[in-house]
Formats: sequence, structure tokens, C-alpha cells
Amino acid sequence: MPVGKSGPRRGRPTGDDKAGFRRRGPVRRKVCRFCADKDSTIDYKDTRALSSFVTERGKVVPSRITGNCAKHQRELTTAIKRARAVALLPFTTVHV
Amino acid sequence: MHQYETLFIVHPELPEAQVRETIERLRRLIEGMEGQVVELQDWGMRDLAYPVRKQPRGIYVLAQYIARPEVVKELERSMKLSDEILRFISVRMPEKRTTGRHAQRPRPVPAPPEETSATEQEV
Repeated sequence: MPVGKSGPRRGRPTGDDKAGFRRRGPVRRKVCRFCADKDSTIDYKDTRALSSFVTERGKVVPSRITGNCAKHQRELTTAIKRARAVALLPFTTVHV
Repeated sequence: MHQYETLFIVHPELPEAQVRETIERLRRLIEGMEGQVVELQDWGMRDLAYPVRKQPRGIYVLAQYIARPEVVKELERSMKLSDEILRFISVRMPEKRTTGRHAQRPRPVPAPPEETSATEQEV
């Protein structure tokens, strides 16, 4: 069988036959929120939307958790960085 | 000419009249260089995510305008010099697609590189 283009391009390896790893329960396929909703845009000014992709400490939530696709994750990180630059989002919550 | 937007934070302790004056000054600067102000939004006093110049709050103002790149440069230079502006960010707004993505599906020639935000300057 020829090797075709298949499988997710990002995130954790999904091979079930990986030695030494056993999954607990079924794996839920995550879908990129921005791909699912075509009208949604990523805007650095929309703090409320961005905050759901930022941890309590102000870190960017990895796409492996959120299920975002690479393209939208990239857009998201620039938006978060822009928001930080104008004090809309924190760089960190623990200050010296 | 491109559409840009600049979000800036005005000093919270500035008297109302001077805040107006600062915003008007920047508007005049854009218009004086053949720029066209599309929108000027005053978000009012907001809490900052972290203190900037010892200030916990700031007056956010968003300006959207169509202008030449030099205008952005001059605007940023002016804001950098003025003490009333705590912080600012300028972003080139994404151009609207004239054709739908799926409309141009069968394309014989490679599509031109997609435009993304061009200017982003942090203080």
C-alpha cells in the first residue's frame, strides 16, 4: 500500500500501536474552533475570546490541548502577543 | 494606500479636555498627511493587564484609517515622543477577499502570496 497523505499533521502521535502507551478510554477528535466556524475571526482586541486560549498564568494554551489547527494557532499566538503589548492581556500574573 | 489601525493608551490622569486635544491632534496628523480616518473609537478608562508607567489604568482609543505607510511611521514617532500616550500598537488591517476561497479552487497559476498583517510595532 502506498504511503498516502493521512492523519493529523499536528499534535501528539496518534498511533495506537505505540509501544508502552495505552490510552484510557476513547480518543475524542478535537476540531479547530476557527475552522469549524468560518465567520469567526481572530482579533487581538477581543480580549474575552483570546482569554479562553490563555492559561490562568497568562500562557498560551498549546494546540494539542485546544485542538486548533496550525494556521489558526499561529494567528492566535500573534493576536495574544499583540494584546500583551498594549496591556490587554498579561505577560504573566506573577509579578516580581 | 492601505487600511491601518492604531490602538493607543492615553494617560489616565490627563484632564478630559487634554485627552480630547491629544486625540484630535493625532487625527489632524493623519488627515494632514492625506490620510482618511475611518473610525475613531474611544473605549474609555480600562484596567491594564499590568501597570504601564506606574499606572494601573488607561484610556484606550482605537483609530482606523486609510493612509500611506509614511503616515503610520509619523504617527508612531509622534506618539513615542508624547508623554500623554502610554502605549500604542499599529496593525495593517487584512484586506478583504474579493473572491471566495472556494471560487478560485481550480487555479492554473499559483495564487499570489496571501497578505497578512504587515506592520506591528511594539513599544
